[in-house]
Amino acid sequence: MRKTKTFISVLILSILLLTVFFSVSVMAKMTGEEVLDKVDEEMDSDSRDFILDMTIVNKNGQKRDRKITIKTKGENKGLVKFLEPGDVKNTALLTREENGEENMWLYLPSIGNVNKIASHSKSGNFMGTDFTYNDIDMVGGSNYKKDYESELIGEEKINGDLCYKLSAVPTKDSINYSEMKMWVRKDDFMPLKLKFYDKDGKLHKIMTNKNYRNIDSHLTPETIIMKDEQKGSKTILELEEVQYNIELANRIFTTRYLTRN
Amino acid sequence: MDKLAKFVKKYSTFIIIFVLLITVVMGYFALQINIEAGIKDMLPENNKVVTKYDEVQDTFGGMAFAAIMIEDEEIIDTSTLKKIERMSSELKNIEGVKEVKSLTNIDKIESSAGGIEVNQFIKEIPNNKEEVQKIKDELLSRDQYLGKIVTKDFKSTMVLAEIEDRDKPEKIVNKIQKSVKNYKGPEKIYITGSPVMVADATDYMKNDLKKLLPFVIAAMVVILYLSFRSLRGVLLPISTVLISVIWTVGLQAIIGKPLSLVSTVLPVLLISVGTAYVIHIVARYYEELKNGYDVELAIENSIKKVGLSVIMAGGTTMIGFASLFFSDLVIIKDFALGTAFGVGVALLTSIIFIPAVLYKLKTPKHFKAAEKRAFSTNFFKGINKIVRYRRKGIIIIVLLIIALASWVLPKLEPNTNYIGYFKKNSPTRIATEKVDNAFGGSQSLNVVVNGNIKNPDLLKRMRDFQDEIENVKAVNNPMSLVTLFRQENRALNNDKPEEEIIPTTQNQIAQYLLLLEMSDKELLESYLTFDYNKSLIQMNMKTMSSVKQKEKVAEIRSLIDKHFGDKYKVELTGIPELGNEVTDLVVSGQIKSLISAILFTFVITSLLLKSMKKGFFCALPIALTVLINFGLMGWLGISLDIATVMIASIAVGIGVDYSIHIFTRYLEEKEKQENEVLSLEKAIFTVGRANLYNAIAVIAGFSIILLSSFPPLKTFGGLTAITMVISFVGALIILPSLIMSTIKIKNGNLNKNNKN
Repeated sequence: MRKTKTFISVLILSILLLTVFFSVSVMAKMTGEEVLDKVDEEMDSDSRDFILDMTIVNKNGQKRDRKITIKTKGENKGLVKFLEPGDVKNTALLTREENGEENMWLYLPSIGNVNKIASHSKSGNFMGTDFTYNDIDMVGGSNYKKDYESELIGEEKINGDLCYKLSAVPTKDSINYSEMKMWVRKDDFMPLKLKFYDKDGKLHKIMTNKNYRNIDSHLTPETIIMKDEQKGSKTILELEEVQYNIELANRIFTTRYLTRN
Repeated sequence: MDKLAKFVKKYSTFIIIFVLLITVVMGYFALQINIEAGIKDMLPENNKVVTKYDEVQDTFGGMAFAAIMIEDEEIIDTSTLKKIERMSSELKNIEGVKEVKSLTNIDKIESSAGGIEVNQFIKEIPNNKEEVQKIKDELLSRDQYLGKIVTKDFKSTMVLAEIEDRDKPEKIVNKIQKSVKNYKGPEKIYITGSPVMVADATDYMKNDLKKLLPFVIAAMVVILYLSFRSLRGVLLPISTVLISVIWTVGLQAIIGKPLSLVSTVLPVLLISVGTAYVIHIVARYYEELKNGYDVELAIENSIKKVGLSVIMAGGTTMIGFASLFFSDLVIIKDFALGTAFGVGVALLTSIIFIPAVLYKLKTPKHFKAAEKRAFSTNFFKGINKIVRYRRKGIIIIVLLIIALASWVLPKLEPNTNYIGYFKKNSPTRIATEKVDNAFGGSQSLNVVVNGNIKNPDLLKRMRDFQDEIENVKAVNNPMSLVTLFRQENRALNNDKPEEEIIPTTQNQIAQYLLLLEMSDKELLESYLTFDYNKSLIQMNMKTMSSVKQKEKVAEIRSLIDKHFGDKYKVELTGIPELGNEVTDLVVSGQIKSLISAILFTFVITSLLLKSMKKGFFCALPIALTVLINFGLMGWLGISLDIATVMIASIAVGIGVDYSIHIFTRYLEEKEKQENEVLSLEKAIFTVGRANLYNAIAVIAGFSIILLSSFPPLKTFGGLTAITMVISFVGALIILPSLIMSTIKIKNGNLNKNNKN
């Protein structure tokens, strides 16, 4: 009898231990969607105000330098304004999503005119850079989950940091990629590298995030490089000033406000 | 020569195996020879005009395109537009086609809902009359399409396929042509543009090679049979010349020199010229047999007695061809090397390989070659009479010809325009004329303006220049940033046609550029470099003669000077500029190679005959031949082109042989017998006969080039054949007449002296 008791207690203990071990291992093994959730969560902010230096380098190594500010509020309001060079200063682009429809307006100060731009430009180049409008949305840390469905396909080290490796497929027609591969640092869920594949499945662009800094309890990369592997050009974004969760009035995101300097 | 004869005898087996082995190897390479017909292939690699062309091509692209014109009673209708749409996307999928521009996919900068968009001009193919009419109305209101992508009467439209600048655009063009064929009917389709012309020319070249070779071989077989009436008398010479052709083409393939427009005639030329050398050897061989020698001695004597004269004749021919190396055109340089090498091979084969084979053969049963024939005997009697009694008449005729020829010399014009390589009724030419008439030209001319485009002064100058270009005849459709800015401004101003104006301040230009950069980066980059410092103005130019084309380009240059002056560096390039460069090099090359050919011939003959005076005598008939050639060209309105430019040097190289033969024999006879008049007569009768067969073979060969698909080559074949006749006559009549006159003058002086 005594022996039986001991046996049962050992059995129960073993089961308990196994259960704990099992649940721990399950916890460690996140799904791709869960990783994206965490990424979005870490980067989430109601509003942002960035000033960044933009360097566009073409395949021959020639450069164009620009300085812009990006302000976003919520998920559906954005304003980009040129600060430098002088001849395009105050040129501004307003994006607003209303009733599921994306609207874009451009303000050219030299003719004092606000122009609506075709929404299919969304997959076009952002201000002549190697980013599409959609790519640039992600820079500020917008919803990856909104645009992509992802799957965890393994773990790999990027510059010594262990990362989740995700394969994500766009859920929107307006995104001109067939697949995005993403390396997310396990420690803090920061995306370090993204590879974009064109509709033919060929590697199109590589985005690299460098030098993460903690700003207002948000980890933010100081340098973002987007390289077009097919054209040989690249765009380097250097974040100069970053503010999160600041008060941005709704009127900033109106066409009337565009014309004010 | 003694040593050579002994060497051939000792190593005959080795020689035969060696030659055949090399022929097999060379044959393997010869089959892989490339054919190139591009304009750039004609010019030297480091040529300034080519470098500039390549630079602009690298910077902006889009200089090589296939222009596909679709003609129908009505272009703007559902079925035709659908066809254009299908064709455009099919062409776009061809590897090597960079971009396709057509009515169904051209961009439009348009205003919409108070804004601006870069959209396809035709968003959806119209389904009914109203929609069709709407498109027509809009086309009529937009200058940037009329006469560029569609004609005002809506009967013709253009599909432009930009082709990647590669080594072999022909393959891409062939795919385009194949694909376009399926869309014919009821619409008519015409294809042209520089890469298309090059591809068509390449096709014609391949056909020419296939067509001309059998003909020239057949002609040689007939001539050889008539001369020797035996199988070996035909087969041996034919194998010799084929060996020389195979070695030459094989060598060109090995050293990476492709066959060009002019070297299409290389095999034909080598066959007809090479045949002459074997004729001399084999004829002598038969003669020696007839004189009762056995095979071995007959061969030995042939090498010893004819070998030297064949080497001399071949040597001068090689020099004639090699003198073309002084041309600046790569294709003519290559031709010079190829033919000189080929003649050398034919020469060596005639005096080494042929005797080696003859050693292995049995004594032939009959050898009629040496027999005299009544016709030729009477022919030479007639010539002898003329020389003796009609001398003064001959000299008067010669002087008259010199005068007539000199009269037209200044009128000689170069014409190297690429379209001239096609016959009048060829599809290529018809297509080019159609496109020229409907769309103002199929050649692209490019002006690159250096200077920051954000500078309003520069942009204003560009606009003024471009507007003035619109008034230049035969140059059409200038396109540049000015055009884009005008459309942009119109779109930004509620689509009012009167708003097609350019921005006027630096900020405005910069912001317009930014907008274009955001809307269509590729479109902007095809007219402006990344650093804003180079802008392209592209225009179409009609096809015309080289002289007119040079004038036209000069007119544009003067407009460039007028509008940009010294303030901005402006460059001009494009296919017409490459064509002009070819023209210039044709002329400079003609002068250089002609002078060097005559000079070398004079030096060589002077050295061989150990007298400058004798050398002068030999060179004189050939100089006359060259003069008559140019005279004929002048009177017949034949222009200097990449083929006719070679005639003079070839005439010198081949034609001088006849004079050398006559003159050496005359000198030889004069040593034997004191009487100069009889010596001359003997020379005419003996060497004249060999010259006649030789000339017939060469003239027949060149005449076959008349069957070529290329008008310049036809002219080349015909004219060279005529110059061969003239140099033959010159050697047989004029040279002896001159000699006779000097004899008479000398004798006359002697008589006078005696009287005194």
